[in-house]
Amino acid sequence: MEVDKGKGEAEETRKVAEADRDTVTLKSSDGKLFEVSKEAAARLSTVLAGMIAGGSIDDNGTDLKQIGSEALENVVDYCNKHANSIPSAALISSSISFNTAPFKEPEEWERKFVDRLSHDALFDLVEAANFLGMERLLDVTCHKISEMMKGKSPDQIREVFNIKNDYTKEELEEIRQELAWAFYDD
Amino acid sequence: MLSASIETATAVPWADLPPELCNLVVDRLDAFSALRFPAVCRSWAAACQVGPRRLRPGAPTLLTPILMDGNGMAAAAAFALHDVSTGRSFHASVSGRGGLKNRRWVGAKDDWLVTTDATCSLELLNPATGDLVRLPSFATIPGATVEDGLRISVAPRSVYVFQHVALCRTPAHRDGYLAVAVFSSLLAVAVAATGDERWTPLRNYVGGPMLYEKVFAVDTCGNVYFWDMDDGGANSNPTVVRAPEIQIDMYVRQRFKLATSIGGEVLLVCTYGDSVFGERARSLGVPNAGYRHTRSILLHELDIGGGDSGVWRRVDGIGGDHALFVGQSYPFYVTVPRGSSDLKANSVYAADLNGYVAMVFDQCQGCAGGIGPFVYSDFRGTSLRPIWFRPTAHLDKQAQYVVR
Repeated sequence: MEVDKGKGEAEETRKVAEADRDTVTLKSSDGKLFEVSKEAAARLSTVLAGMIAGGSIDDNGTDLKQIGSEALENVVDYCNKHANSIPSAALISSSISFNTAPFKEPEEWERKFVDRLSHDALFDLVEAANFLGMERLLDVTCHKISEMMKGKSPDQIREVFNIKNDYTKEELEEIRQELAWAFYDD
Repeated sequence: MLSASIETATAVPWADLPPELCNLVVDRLDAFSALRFPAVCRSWAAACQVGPRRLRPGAPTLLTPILMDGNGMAAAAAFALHDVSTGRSFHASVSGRGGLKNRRWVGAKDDWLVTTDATCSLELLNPATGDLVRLPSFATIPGATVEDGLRISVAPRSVYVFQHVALCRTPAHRDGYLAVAVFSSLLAVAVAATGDERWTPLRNYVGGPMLYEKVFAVDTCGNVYFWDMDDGGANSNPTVVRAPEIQIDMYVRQRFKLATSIGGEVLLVCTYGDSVFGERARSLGVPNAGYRHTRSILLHELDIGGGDSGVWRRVDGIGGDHALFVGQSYPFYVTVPRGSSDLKANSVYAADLNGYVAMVFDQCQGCAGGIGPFVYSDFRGTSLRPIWFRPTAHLDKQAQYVVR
């Protein structure tokens, strides 16, 4: 939420702010200011936790030059929502007996949170989460991206993500060979 | 529609997603989807770490239904792939509509399955891509009527029980697929290939065929039959090669499979064993007392034309650094990487045998035991039996063979 806009959530943020520096102010690459609960920021982002512990937080807005205002707004929104949500007895995904790591399934509100994002916003958010070392938000965003490609052919995936097919026919054959490295078929 | 697609088109460079994020995404995909990921673009392929953590194209894997674990978590169209070269298991879901719903597999080669249903309507399914090819109906065999999912009757009054399909070439082959359907009782091998609108019946008996310029089949006694395909096989009687003399005591049960040797000859694989009960069964690790315990393997190579029709030659092993995989799927070899601890060289891996999902044999030590903790009894009552499956990298689609 932008600080100077009098929305409900901003009000709440201000209330928390009044309880003396319980928030940190973050500044996006395009100079917009956002306030976020210090506790949530420290808990959800290893990078912000490090900055808070190291005293490198600027009261006038800590510069996050890599993150645009839309992505930063989503990050802050996520932190605030996370702070307000009651963590459910976490659902470990059903792949216990398999080699995929047991990822925590996103909770309902997290699903809704990423579902409403445009593809572009999702891309910016996953990069921001990566930059800020937000493991849980990375989980949620990468889960969403994987959902978008499940069961789709390479062609369909390219269409969804607007990716150009930069393979030549020869390269496809080459990669096919390379991937089959240790095995062959007479 | 054009303007709509421009509006929804994403403008950010997804191809430039950082490698560490690509890998986080791939980690969350099922095994089949993960195989397709590098095929999207070069930078995603470069980002994607190929390693034992992932299902590797070409790896010999066993396809099984998902094991029930007490929580009843088996989902329709969900399967497990067990890579026997690394000992890893993966979750996979079959994409596309229908897929394996109300169907069972009756053959396989590479990453293609032959599936059938309650009316014997056969399809080739690639569960990784969802590609589907319909095979002709058995009703195309002259005089034949499909009775149900197992039996066809042929006028005037013969009934044949359908057993399985040997898929000699998949639809990915440049000459198209080639399938051989195998029935029990007299007659009964039929051949169909890409472009065929009917099955061509081959005369006389059966067991498990394979093919290059000839179609071979073995019966339950180890006798081998072959048909020259010069005339399409339509009217020819098979040449019969009597089973090699295998002197084992009369209580021993034998099973026969056909493969080709590394040198390209016909290879007869005989697994045999006796019945074990009680304490001995438990000490051998046989899951249930009373199973027939398969204890060893014999290999014979066929010299065609060596005698009247052919001569068997006992061989000591399949050779060098190879492992041979046999079962309901079309047999194949894998080169065992030097120093591999998970794959045994000069060994035969047999799927779906005597209480085990798979067993491994070599000539010196006989049966080296079952593979993995996966015991057959888990699959009793399901019609989906463990089968060998080899994933391939799906960098493009064989669209010309898709009928849906």
